[in-house]
Amino acid sequence: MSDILASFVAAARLVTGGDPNLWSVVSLSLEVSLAAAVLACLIGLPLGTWVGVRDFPGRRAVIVSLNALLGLPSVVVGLIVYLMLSRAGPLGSLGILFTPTAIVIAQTLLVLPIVAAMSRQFAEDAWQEYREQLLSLGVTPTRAVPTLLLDLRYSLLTVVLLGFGRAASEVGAVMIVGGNIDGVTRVMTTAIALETSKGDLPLALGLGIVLIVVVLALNAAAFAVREWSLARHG
Amino acid sequence: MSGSELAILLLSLKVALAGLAASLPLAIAVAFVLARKDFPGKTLFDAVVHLPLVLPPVVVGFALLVLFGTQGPIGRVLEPLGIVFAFRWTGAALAAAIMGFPLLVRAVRLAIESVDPRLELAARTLGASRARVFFTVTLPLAISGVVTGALLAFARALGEFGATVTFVSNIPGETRTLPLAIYTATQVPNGDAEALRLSIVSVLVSLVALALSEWMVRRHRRAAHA
Amino acid sequence: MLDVDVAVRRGDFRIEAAFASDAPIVALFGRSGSGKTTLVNAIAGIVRPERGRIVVGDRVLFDGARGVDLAPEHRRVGYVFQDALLFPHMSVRANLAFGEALTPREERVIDHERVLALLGLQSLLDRRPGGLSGGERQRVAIGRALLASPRMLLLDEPLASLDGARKSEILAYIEILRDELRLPMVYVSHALEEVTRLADRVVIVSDGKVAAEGPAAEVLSRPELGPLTGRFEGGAVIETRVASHDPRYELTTLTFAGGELVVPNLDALPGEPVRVRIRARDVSLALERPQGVSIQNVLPATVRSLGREFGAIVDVALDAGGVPLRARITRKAADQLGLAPGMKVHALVKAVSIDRHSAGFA
Repeated sequence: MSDILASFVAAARLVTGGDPNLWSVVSLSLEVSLAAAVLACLIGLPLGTWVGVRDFPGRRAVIVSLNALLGLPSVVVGLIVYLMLSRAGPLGSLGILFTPTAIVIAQTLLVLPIVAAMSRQFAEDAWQEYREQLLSLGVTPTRAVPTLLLDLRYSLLTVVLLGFGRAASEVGAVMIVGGNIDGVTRVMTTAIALETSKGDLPLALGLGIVLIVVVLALNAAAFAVREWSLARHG
Repeated sequence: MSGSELAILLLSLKVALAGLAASLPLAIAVAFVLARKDFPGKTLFDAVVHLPLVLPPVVVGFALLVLFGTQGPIGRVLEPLGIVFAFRWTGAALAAAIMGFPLLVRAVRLAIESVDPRLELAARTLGASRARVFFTVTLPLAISGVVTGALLAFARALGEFGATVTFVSNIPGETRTLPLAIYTATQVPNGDAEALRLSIVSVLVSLVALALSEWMVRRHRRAAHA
Repeated sequence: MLDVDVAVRRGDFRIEAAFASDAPIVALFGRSGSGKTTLVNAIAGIVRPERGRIVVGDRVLFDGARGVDLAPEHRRVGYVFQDALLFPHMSVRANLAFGEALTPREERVIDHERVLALLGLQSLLDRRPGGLSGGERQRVAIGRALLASPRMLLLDEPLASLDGARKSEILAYIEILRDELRLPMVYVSHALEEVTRLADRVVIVSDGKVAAEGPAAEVLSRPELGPLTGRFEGGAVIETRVASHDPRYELTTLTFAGGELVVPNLDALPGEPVRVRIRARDVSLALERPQGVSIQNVLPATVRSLGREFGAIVDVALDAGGVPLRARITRKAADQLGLAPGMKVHALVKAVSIDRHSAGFA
């Protein structure tokens, strides 16, 4: 027990002392996760909203594909990206395997279905509410998408935050496509997995603390945004 | 599929099922309390139950290591009793159980909440004790939610990576479940084919579990409208 | 038999009631929201009163002062709910057996076969609640409650979700139960016809308080209680006895202290007591016995008082051989006839205005 306590103290010192090793891992994590979240939202928010409000040929197929992606174990998604990007694969010539770009791609694919599903839910509910008004004003479902996106901006902000959290939490897929290379593709999650297997508790603990703080902060922010928007708009 | 791959599949199934079986009674109890009871701190309790859903899996795995590892406060107490989690399949089962717990509780809670509480009152006026009411009225009527939750938790357990690898690492034959095996396969030369095979198995099993749960949901909905 | 003195709080609403009854059926009568259901819920143990005492027979179910609060499963009080509340995942047979199986053998005083026969449940045994009609569901619900051998049966608006024909059907069953099983019942309703037909004793509940309690005929005839019961129309409830039947014209003659009443055929044997409600609006007055008129019932009566005058209408309280009656006529008519307290008049009641729905069998 005193072992663990000592590790805690050491970890706290690493965090507050600005240990360059720790903080470089943290900054890389935040960068790739943010990029993935933004990418997933750029595609997923409009996609989800559109699927939620409009019926179009192939809608069923899109929904099924998204649900399938959602249900896939993350390591499988990682494997698929890996196979695509490996030298033998179709995109192998790009040479992005084991680079941060690969991590961004994998995380985006994991966050995309979540973003699409959540925004679809919000859009469907909002569409139910505003459908009559919008239609009577001559707004077609497609043209309604930007309007709904604006109206739902708080809910969608929530989605972005939660997407970011999900990306930052991913480890399996990131391990496979990133390779956990020191200084290049080592993010918080993979570093924690590595350091605990090496037995180096303080670093893992320190990273863990930062990771928890980041994720909880994102969830708290999402919660606060929701409460604020409810208070303001009812 | 080779013999070792079959062994990996069986280990994964064993881990997922064991985790599910161990967490099911507790999950039902927690779901009942959340569905029917009111008490100070209920929101906090609900949030704690949902933690494994919110926290990154590696963090959960790390916490498990600290608590249930051989040096940990709980691990140290259980070891002389012969219950060891660290670096054993039991640890993988524990990780799977904890990661799937919130999903299980949510599904069961939803199902219990859909049971008309007045039916429970009617049963009591007929002479049934609270426990009897739960087992003969509430639970049977909520059973589809229990099954759905179990299937969801099972599927989740099959795909569990982060918590498992952090808590019990990657020991072949002991803790190398399907997801860990897929990862391991990509680390060895010429392992891609095996990784692919394992993935297909993993996806198939998950699909079957998810399809079953979808079917249950639809059947329950139809029965409710009959 | 039943002794209740409680105060129960439900959210913002508070109901205080004290009443006692030895009658086979006591009705809790009043408008929706007056607190009747809360009271029976307290008797059943589903809701805990703030203070007070509930005694059924020789058992104290609740005593706030002494800290006695029996759990519902120990009270042996049966409950028939407004929407049956049958267990949807069990067959009718299993539903019926539910309470029975939980009753110790030596306490099973109700005969299983008899209940099935009385309520006509044999053909329903293997069916599921989902496939039953409203009337069938209610019969099963009553059977289920009975088979647990309760010491008292609570019925909360059991007819509310049924249509007209079903209502009469179930009402008849309840009457049979009262007569055959001698099981004390508490019947909650806001429907005057049901209460008139079934209750021997009535407790009128209004806005969380007991407005009146007493024998049915007496309580239901009091005019000042009219507004409290909602759809109440001024009238009188009198106790009569069947004198004879006329098979040719399918009429029944009832006798009471004030004379004889001829009514369309009632299903009762000569000598049977029948409680009859005569609405004030169906009673006309004449100074002399009229000739060549279709009205079959002409009762000599004395004017006791002239009631409130609101607008064109006036309520006249009459006394027919000691039995109170009411007549509702225009003020103009009252003036034309020169009505005054003490005057002797004839009360005219159309036979057709007294039908099955206005009659209750004690």
